[in-house]
Amino acid sequence: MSEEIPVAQDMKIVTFTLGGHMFGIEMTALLEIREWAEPTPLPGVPAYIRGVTNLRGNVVPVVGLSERLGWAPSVTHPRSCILVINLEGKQAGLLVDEMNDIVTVNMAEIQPPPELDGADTSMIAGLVRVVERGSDDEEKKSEKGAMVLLIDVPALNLTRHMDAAA
Amino acid sequence: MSKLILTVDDSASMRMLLKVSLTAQGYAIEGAEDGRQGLERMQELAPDLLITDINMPHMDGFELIEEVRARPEFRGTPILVLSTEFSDEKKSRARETGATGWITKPFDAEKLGAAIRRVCP
Amino acid sequence: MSDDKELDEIQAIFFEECVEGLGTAEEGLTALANGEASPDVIAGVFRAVHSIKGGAGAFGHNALLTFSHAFENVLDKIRAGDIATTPEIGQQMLSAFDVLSDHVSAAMGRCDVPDDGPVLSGLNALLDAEGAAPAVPAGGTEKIEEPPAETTGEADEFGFTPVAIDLDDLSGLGSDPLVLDGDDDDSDEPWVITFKPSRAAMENGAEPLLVIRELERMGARVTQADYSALPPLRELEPEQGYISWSLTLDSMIERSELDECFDFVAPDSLIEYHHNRRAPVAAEVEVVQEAEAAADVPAQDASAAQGEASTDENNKAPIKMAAVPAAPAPPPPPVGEAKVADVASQTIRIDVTRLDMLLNLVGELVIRNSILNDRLAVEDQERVELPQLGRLTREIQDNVMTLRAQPIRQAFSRVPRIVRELCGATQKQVNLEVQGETTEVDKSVIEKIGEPLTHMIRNAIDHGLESAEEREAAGKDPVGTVLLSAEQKGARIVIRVSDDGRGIDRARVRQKAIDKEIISEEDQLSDEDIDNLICAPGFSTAETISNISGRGVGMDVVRTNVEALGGRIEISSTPGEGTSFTMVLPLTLAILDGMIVRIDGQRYVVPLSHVIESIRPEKGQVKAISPGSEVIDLRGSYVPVRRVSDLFGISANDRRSPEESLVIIAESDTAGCIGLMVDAIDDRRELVIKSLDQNLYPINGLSGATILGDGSIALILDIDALVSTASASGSRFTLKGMAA
Repeated sequence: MSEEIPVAQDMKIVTFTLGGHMFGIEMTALLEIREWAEPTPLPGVPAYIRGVTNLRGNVVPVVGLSERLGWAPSVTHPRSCILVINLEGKQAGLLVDEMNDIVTVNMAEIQPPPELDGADTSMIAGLVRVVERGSDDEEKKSEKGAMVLLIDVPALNLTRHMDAAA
Repeated sequence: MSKLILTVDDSASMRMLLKVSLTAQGYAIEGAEDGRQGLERMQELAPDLLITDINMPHMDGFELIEEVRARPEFRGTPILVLSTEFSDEKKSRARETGATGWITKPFDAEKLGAAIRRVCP
Repeated sequence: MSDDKELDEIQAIFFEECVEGLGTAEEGLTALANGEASPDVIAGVFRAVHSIKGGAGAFGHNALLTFSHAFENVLDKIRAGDIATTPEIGQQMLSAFDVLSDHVSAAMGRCDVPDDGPVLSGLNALLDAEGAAPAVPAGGTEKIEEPPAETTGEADEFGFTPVAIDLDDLSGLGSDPLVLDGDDDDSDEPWVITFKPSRAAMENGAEPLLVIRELERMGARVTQADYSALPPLRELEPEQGYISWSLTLDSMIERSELDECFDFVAPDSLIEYHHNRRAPVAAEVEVVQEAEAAADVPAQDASAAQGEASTDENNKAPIKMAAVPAAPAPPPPPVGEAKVADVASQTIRIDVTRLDMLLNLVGELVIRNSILNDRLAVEDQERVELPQLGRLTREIQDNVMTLRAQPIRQAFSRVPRIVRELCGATQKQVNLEVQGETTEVDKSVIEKIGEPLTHMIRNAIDHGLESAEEREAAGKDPVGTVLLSAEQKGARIVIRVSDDGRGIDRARVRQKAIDKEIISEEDQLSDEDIDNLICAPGFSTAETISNISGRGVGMDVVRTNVEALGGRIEISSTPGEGTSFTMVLPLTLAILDGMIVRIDGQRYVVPLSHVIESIRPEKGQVKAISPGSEVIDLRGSYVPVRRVSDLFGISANDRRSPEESLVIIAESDTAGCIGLMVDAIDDRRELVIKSLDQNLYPINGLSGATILGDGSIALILDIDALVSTASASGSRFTLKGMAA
């Protein structure tokens, strides 16, 4: 995502929770959503690469998004899932706590990212409010919506660390 | 039934260009990539017209034409020679060898069509 | 538009042909410069440039057209012997070749059009010295010019002299009644055309009548047919021309169009056309009506009499000659395909993605075969059908693999030019020797070693070789030699770039590594270790100065690229004598015969080609010689034993004793053996290699991964890397990803 936000353009994002925060990622980057399965660990890679997994015959790295952002590793549970994304032509899986929804946001409403405790905000493109949809609950409707941290997908670049020793 | 033209040129792209142009004009096209293969295909197909390049490996255009004309069944087959330029010398040589006419490269589709009409009944 | 797309596809093929042609031309011109070019070779170079020129014109690449035209003309003269093949000419041709190559790249949109001024002038100078070259054609026909007045010595029966008249020349024959006077191209008067073909006009399968048909298409009308020369039937020669026709044609038609129309038959016919005055035309019209009526019958007789040799013109028109059933035009190629099936040809072009798909499928076939094998009960495994199926599968696999195999020559093709350029830039003299270019490697290897190879050659010439003066001072031949070689060794391809230069200055390399904090002062390094520092990340910076002897630019990138292919780089050097860089690459990149082993609950693959034997050690057979270092007593000699978990820096859950483990003795190509301690051996199987590079990046110690039958992933061990790491005892620096 670029810093210049075009006026009045809509963008579909998929939202999920991680470490108690709500994040979102552009739909166009999302390839599929998979159930969590323990990946095959790789030697000599940074801790946030939890291993590789078989995605329809392809060997795809699984990234602990929590660690990548600088937080403690996620604890996996039955609703954990892997978001398979297109990361600059390559595929990667992101481990998240729980899937949320697909929502549309107006790009003009995206604000700059805030400071986050201990997180590397270079990978966060911005902050935007989303209105949760499809709720018959009167209470929910009256809520103002949730704040979603938008992930800057290219900034997740897995090769950034390259020269660091294990 | 459309007329069959055999195009002989060592450049696949040139053969394709010819094919595209000629098929659009209603001809059926077969190809060969050098004189030797051209001769084989002549005998195999007995086309209505032969269009051949000159500079080709193994057997060049002039040799091909000579070989074709040496066979009685092809004495009356119209033959067009493809080349990038046609000096008088070249035209004479073409005729001497047995070509009926010539086409310059790059060819104009219309002129190509007209040339074919002038030699191929 | 589908037309444009079609043209783009054809142009893409033209570009491929250009690349091939450039390859042929370069080889031939190099031979020419060395004085070794046979006439055939020169003809081949000529043809290659000629073809490029032809397509350049067709696709509108004018700069390329102009240059290749001049180049072709010079080559034509060389081919004809009009220009001597001196070494200077040879060099000039090579320079021209380089420019041509750039023009082709520019036409492909890969770079800007080169400035060919100097080289082009050089070519034109050669041409001028030899006489004028034919002009670049504008396309289309040329004027009908005056050919020789006589045909052969024999007197034509009718005193007929086939001559075409150039009206601008006003040099018509006396016998021509309709002499042109004040003739004006811009005249509104219609054309009056006279056309009398001779016997010669009907040779070569020509049909003058077709010309008349064409004229009629342009709007001409036959006004008169003069058949007065027609002999009685019994004397009639079918292939002789007796009739002359007059036609009128609207003045709107350009003279050039008429020229074109008569182009083929011009030298063999009496042709004349001009704009006529009104009056005579009118007079002719009356004559016409009579003449036409009269002409009809004899004309038909005449044509009937002309016989089969001239072909039955008038009767033929409505009847289409069906010499052969016409083949239906094949549908245009679908989007995205670059496939052309040459008719009855020995080669076929195939889209590489299709080949890869086929390869994947074959890989799957291999896996399924293995799994099938496993699922069967033991007694069924013995049935004869299974090994047969296995053999068949392996054969298919081998054949498909060879489809992707290409001679490595393609990867070497750029090197001569790089050497030429570097020689120019560094003012050094270099002799390039190439060996083993016919060695076949997988296509993907060719695609990916281009860059590493370029780096290595650059380094050899820039850093490795000394200047001519230095070399002479050292007692060496002032001309340095760079040897580029490829050979197949077992399941590997070995590609080497060696030079006879100054070798690696290890002291300076060591110092530089210390300065860059890659190693420390106290580190003990073998010569080999120091050499390898050159490839360490961080060692090479963006320096372009060559004052550090030894290599530096880009070598870590080279190593990364090579490792991504599952290969490795070896360096060896002798001070004062030279250095060689060797790339060792796997021969087949896709399928591997592997041994599946279990270590700490994880499965790994050991390439079977490296496995010598596997042992369950007896008590005491594995000895610890120092903390963390074990060896196994193998029939009297000691082989270092490593646990994979140690090599990968993974802490094992519990360290098994050697007696509870298996030790696999594996041999690396670098002539070192290692005993890998594993928990169990699962299986031996053929596996499809999945590159880690596809979605991640290369990891030292691994040459890829594979997907087992149950869908789980097993990592493939890179024995060579593991052996060398094992032997680098106590080194603090590591190649990335590996713990000490």
